[in-house]
Amino acid sequence: MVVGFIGLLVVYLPAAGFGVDSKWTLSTLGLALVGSGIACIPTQSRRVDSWTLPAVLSALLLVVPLILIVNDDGTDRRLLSGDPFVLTYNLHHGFSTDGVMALESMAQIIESADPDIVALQEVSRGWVATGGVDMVAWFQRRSGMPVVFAPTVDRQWGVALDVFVDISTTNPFG
Amino acid sequence: MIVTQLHQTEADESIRQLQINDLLVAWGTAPRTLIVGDLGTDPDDEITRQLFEAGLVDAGRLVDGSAATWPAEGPAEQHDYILRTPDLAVSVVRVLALVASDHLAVQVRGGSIGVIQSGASNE
Repeated sequence: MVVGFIGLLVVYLPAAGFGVDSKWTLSTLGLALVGSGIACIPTQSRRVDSWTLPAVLSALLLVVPLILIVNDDGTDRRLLSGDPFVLTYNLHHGFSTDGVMALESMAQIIESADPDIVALQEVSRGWVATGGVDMVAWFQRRSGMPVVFAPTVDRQWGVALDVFVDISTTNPFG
Repeated sequence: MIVTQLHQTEADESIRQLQINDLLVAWGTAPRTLIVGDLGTDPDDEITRQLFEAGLVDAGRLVDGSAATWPAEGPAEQHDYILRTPDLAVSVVRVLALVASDHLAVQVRGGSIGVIQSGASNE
């Protein structure tokens, strides 16, 4: 079991590093762990080679996460269902009016509206005067979705789109 | 869908006019279009009026109550817009009264996906 647990960690950590959604990885590994535990219960009636089940489970441990990694594009982008929700939000380069960095509060406001597409303005990509934060990278990491940026004032300042739905095959606005 | 933010210094009105000209060219009266973002001025301003005269409809007119979005702590002016071509219906339109930025966010639910309804309007 100890070896099995270490094996799980060996598989889980690289999978997490690849950005595979942890719920999938953990679910798979959890099932495998339970399966391993069951397999380790000694039964007098077992006639198969005592190495067979652990060998099969070990193979599954290696193959299943690999399939998930290969098939996962690192996002939770959902299919558009029904009419799209569109949100527009001027982010004031990520700061509140009293000068406090408020990106997390803004992200929570966006989340509370559960939009499909978000249009953002006053997006800074590292202006020193606005704290040096690359807001596109920040929102990409925060939302897990690609953010498309277009410069306006200069190359480090502009507008952006954060798209939470898969519109690669359907253009919701014709 | 087009995202924009206009120059916001009223003294530089000529710059804003150039931006409106570019925006109208970029749109090109294409059907089924949303133009969203911060226009920095109220709907009765000469700048915004040009967009309405070109055929765009302000979804903010459907807001139940005030459509003002700026300043966030006590909204007095509508700076943030979701403009639509008349062939796109919208249903839910709301200003989110949640303060983090100096602006409030505006949200709409767009309608008529895949079905062109000429002249369709909820207003």
